Amino acid sequence: MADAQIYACSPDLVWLQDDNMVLLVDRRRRESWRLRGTDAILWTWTALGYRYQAMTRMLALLLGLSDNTAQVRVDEAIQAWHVAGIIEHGG
Amino acid sequence: MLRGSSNTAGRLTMANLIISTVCNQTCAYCFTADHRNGNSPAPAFLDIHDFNARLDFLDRSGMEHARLLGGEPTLHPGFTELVESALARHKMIVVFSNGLMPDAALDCLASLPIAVCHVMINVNAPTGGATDTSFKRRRTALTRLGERAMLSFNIDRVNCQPEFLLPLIAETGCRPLIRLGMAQPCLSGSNAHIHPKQYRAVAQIVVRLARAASSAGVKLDMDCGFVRCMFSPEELETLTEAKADVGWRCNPILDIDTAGQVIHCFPLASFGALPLAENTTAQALRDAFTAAAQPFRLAGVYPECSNCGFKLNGECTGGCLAATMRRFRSTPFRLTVPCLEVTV
Repeated sequence: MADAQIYACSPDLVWLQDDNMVLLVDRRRRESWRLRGTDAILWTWTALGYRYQAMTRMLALLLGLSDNTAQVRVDEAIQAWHVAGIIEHGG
Repeated sequence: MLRGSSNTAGRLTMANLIISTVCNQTCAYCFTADHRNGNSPAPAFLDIHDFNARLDFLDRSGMEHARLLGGEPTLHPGFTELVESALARHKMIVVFSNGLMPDAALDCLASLPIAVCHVMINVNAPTGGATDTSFKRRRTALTRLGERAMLSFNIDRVNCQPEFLLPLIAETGCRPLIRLGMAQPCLSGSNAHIHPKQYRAVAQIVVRLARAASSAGVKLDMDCGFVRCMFSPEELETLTEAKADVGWRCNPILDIDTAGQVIHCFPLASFGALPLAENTTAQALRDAFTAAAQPFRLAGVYPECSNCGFKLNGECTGGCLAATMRRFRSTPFRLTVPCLEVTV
């Protein structure tokens, strides 16, 4: 296994769970993002402190996916958050 | 994932000048607690030089009303001088008071023509005891001010009975109009306030009062923070029949403190402040606060708000922004992602 990648979210980031989305707001940058579907589920799990492996397993069970496919979905979400600036490399 | 956008709030043409951070009441629902009675680094009273600078601000912002706020604004030792200064600039005087005002301030306001003086007196329900001198003093002030005054009441609990306001209007001869507010939270939530889950119960209080007020020839003027969905269609019809001024507003009010700092409104005092510079206009301040609040406006006080037709079409703002912002949480996290090979 290669080195692990660590991500962190900004302390300026706040979020809430609405009926149809998770809304993220960066208070300092005054930016917002709306997450829906799998992204919203994964964000909630991440913010609740679930580990990567637990999330991939739970997503596989929730959506009836193989572990590999679930892992790809989780990686894609994390990559999208990183590209959007929601999370950053955290050391 | 969608980048957020939101309708901007409506345009208002008001700003409140805080001339005193001192108050002679300690209402549990007051959302100015952080500013009152020495809790703020801002001076206790605004001096006349700074007050004239505030009037300059009103002039360049095209505002005709000098809206004097506190604390209790009439406790300012130079209250009469401030009023005279504003009148000299052809401003209409609007005072937000608890009615427990010094004689000199009451004399000053009672001597002004009705056309240039408007005093909104906020009252709490009488305690009913023989020692409730505060209520008697308010009644005296209302009687002396007559049609210069109108009543204001804040619903801060779901078992309140504001019907006592109606005989008070009849007895004192003040304007047959009640400004009705719903106690909103400071961002810290430290003041007594109505939770959105209690809005339905509040709606029933409002409708009950509107019916009684209509029979007494009194109109209701609903302040910011109410939401469209808290009323049933039948209740809205009742409010319309009672000619109540209903609205589902939440906008930057612009409260300017004694240190020259401008805030969105008292509930959002800790959201951030902007300095009142020599060339600042109200519109520029309002635009800045609107932009700062925009990301949060995508949500509302309820989880359903962001997908609600009333909010999406701009009919309802989704309630008080402070109440909405209290729904947000901060959960800083670190996520470790192992670099695993995906088996295909």
